[in-house]
Amino acid sequence: MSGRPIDSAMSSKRRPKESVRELWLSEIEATNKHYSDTNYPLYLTMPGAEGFDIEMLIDSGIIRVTETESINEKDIKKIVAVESNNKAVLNLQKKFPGLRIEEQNLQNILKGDGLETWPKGDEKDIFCAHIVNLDFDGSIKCDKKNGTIIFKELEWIYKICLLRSNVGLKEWKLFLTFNAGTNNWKVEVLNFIKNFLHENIKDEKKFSDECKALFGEEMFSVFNSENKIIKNKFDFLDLQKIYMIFVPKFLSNKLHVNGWKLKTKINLYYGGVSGTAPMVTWIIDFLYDVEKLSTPKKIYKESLMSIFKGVGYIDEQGKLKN
Amino acid sequence: MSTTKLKGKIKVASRIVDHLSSGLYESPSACLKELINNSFDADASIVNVFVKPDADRIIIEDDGHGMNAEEFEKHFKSVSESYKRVENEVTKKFKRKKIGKIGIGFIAANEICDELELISTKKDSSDELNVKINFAEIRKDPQGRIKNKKGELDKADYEGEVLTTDKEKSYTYIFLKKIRGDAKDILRGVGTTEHMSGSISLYGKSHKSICEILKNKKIRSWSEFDTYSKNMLEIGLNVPVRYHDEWLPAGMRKKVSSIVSEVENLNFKVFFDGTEIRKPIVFSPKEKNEKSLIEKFEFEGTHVSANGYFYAQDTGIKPQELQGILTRIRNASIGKYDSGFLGFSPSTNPLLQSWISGELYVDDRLEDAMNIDRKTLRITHPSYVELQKEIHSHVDKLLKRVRSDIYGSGTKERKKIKAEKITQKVREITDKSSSKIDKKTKAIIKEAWSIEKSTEKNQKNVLKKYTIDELYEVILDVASEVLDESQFNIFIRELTKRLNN
Repeated sequence: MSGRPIDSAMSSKRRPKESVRELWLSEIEATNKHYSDTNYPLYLTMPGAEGFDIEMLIDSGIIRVTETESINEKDIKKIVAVESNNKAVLNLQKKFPGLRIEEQNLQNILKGDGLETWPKGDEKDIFCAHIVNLDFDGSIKCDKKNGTIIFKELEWIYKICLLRSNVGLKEWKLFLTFNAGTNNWKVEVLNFIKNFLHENIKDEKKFSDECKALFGEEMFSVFNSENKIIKNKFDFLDLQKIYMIFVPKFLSNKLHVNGWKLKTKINLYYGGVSGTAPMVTWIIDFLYDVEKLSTPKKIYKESLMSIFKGVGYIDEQGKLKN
Repeated sequence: MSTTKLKGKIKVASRIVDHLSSGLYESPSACLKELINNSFDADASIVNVFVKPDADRIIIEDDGHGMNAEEFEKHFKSVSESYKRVENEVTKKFKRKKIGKIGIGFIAANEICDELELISTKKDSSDELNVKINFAEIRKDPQGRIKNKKGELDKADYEGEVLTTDKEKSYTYIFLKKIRGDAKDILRGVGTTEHMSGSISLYGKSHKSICEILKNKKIRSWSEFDTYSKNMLEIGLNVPVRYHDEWLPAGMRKKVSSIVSEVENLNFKVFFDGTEIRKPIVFSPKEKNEKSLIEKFEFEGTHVSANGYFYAQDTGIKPQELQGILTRIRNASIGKYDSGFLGFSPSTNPLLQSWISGELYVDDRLEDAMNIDRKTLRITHPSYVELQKEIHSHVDKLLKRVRSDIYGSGTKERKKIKAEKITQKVREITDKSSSKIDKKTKAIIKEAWSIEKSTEKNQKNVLKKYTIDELYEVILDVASEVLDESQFNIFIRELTKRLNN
């Protein structure tokens, strides 16, 4: 294959990753029971060249195949893969003939992370999938726009939410995964994150207690302090834990004013030992309630508190632990 | 990773450009088969084509010997005469006779897409050629195109680079991107008008299932397939893939087994979205009494030689696309079946001509008669003239044989079956009304319309056709003799009502 990091990461049938896929499967099975949509797909995925999650959907019968193992015509619209690398596309097409593949990167299909341009037609429709699996092999990319720090992938999720509320879709499910180990966050970014978490640590006891329990005394004291972070001394595990709180809080904060409530069902870290990539993964339900727009703080609070409900980790044997 | 870059203009001889600009290929399948035949010439044993779900882009992947940057540039620097044949008449690995003559296969893709990406490597080389060809140039007005000193026109721009890859493998991947509107509609199976695409799809079917579908006599034409499947069939007809295992009735296969083996020995398989494509030539008499025959054809002339077969079948060849004769040179077909048998008189047994299907594997000498479109032959070429003469003589004899062995005996057979069916029906009707028909009458009916006594005279009576006036005449005659006046009138009124319904 092409030798890309994403493909080696995705191709590994590591136990923790298999456990994550099992979690995905149970969510997809539950959604599939009520799926009868003829307009929008059930599942949008970034499967890498191997497409193990697609294989899983086929094995479970959610995606049916023909006698030649091509995707059954009846299920062709049920699944969309996003992959821009020619060789990975070929590999996917060989494994799953008939699979619909959008051959661009996600950012291109979304027409960037700004709100000036929007995907249209088929490109818009794929983001209306009932379940979106954004399985990134890298860390969140940061940028600066007009003096503000931008977290690119999180902006894309924000954009997907706005796109969906515009077409009147009220709920969806996000599988989100990042590698916390490829970050080269500048101290400026770390301080932004620290201050962002500090707001709630300072004001909300429950949030503060939960953070303390997850971070441990030493790291918690950094986030509890008013002092600036001078140097990035965080190890992989620290970064994974920062991701676990920062990502869902950032999304909750950005989306509550638009009427979106987040329910973080799964919030796990895995890997980071014996040379494996330190990953963080979430399953988040998004619920749009325009009537609750008058009480955005309530939405935000509910979204925030769900962050800690699914907190845990997956050990190297693939066992889920709290 | 290497950073060797390449960039240039593809030069195509003016006479070829003229053909290409006016649309050399009649259908998307004709363009795709050029690329598949390229894979054949590259000694590939497996070619995968991916079109579904929506033909947004098409991938052609093969495990052939691949191409490096030097070969690419040498070839595309000047696409003109006989490049492919200069080096080798046959391929290195499988000793196949190369199909491509002037190497326009890649350029053919311009008719269905605006962009072609090529990734290729040769065995024992870690260089991987990555090139993107832009076909926008070809659709410009010829005046607007740059002409070089040799009179060649710029066909397309290309740029690419050489990357590193695994030394163990050789392959070529072709990505056709920005598929053009009509070609896209045809390839994805919807056609360009609402009446163009049939409802039968071969997508996702195994070759065995496809063979069963093709055996179905109710399919009169390939137009009953959706355009995606029709393309599959057209490609299968042209490229050197093998025959279906049950393409002929079991008893006939031995007669043409050498032809089948020769094709199998080419070791060439093509898959279309996972479905193995085989020659869509399947002959299967449906009724147990339906007659058919096969004749092997062998000819050794002064200017040309050929071998093949002729198959004939009672009630005609279906689907109609298989009627006539298919000529192959170097295992690839020249166009489609010629239902006119190379200009054979259409007034000689026109019905029976549609009962015949044949394939001819002709030697290379006929290739000189082939036009650049690969679908027509120059009819004044000595090889063509000689072959035509032989075919006409053969078809003439064959038609006579079809008339005596199939049509004649077939007609008798059909009449017998029809008469038997009618007498059976009469028996059923009389059985149903058995409560009102006494034993004596029943016996008379049975005696008159007995299946066992279906002699020619009996058959003639059974199959006799009456017009309404003849029917009235017989019935009125009988009724007036056996019924009283009131019963007669009731009977006639009821009969008239029924017949008039």
